[in-house]
Amino acid sequence: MEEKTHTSMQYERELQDIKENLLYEGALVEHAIHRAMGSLLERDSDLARAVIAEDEKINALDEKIESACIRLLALRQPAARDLRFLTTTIKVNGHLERMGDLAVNIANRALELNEVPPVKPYIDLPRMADLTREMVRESLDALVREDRDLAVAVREKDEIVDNLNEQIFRELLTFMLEDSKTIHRALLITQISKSLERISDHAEGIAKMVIYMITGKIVRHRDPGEAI
Amino acid sequence: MAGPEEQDFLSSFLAGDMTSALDPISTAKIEELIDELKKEYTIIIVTHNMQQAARISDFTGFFYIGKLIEYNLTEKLFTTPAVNQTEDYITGRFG
Repeated sequence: MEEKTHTSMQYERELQDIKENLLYEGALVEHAIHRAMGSLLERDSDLARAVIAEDEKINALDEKIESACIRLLALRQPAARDLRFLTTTIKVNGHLERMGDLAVNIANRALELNEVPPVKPYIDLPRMADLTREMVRESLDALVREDRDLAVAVREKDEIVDNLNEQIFRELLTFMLEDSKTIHRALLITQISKSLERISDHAEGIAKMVIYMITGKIVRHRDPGEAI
Repeated sequence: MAGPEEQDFLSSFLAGDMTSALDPISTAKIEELIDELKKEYTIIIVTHNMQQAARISDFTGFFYIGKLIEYNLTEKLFTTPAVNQTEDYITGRFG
């Protein structure tokens, strides 16, 4: 069935603008995560500083999108799918803004780690980062395409990221117990791993909102495998 | 927006409640027409329908028993009205 547009072209444009801004914010967040990890893996402190400075763009978009949504809620009295889209957008926007802050956390830890010799080669962290970025991308794809199955798949990946975080912590704990001189560096790496794990949680949060947007059902406190 | 006494006077000069008897589709088409016309004309509408005022106007004036209570950008009036009486009215706190 062909999708119908609103009779009011202005309203249609405003909704479209919000969607485009949200996707742009998502792209900035993905980029920030990629660059933050790059600043660690390539020991590039200038790149880390750039990530920290560019978080302003994400914050500005956060405010712009939220204001636009509140404006439409007040002036258009949206119903049904429009209401679900706007309430979803407000929450997704919040998740993206937090992800940007977590990318900054990673960059800040990279600045510290770049000043000292590495504890060990980074193997699981890059895998975790790749998976996390994939979750961010796919959660937003699911929103744009209104793809419930994709949103469910994103939720299921969160468990893999959680397991990687625990694995990294266990490995670093071994290093710390064997050599106390590694404790400071190892703790910084666990903070990075935790930041990635939190980003993954936010991506799962986006996926849950997408499921709500499509089905009208709030699944926030249900397991990924539960029937919707 | 206007009380009944104000509306009878103003409707002689201005557009007043022109869609109140129409179905939603026709109303939407009239509102879309207004949206087009306002690019070239100043249009003043008197309406009891707060939602319509919110949808189609750039500025909104709230009149109550002959007095102008508040006049503001529509977005401002419907999100953070400056006058308590306006807020009471638009949120349905009629007393």
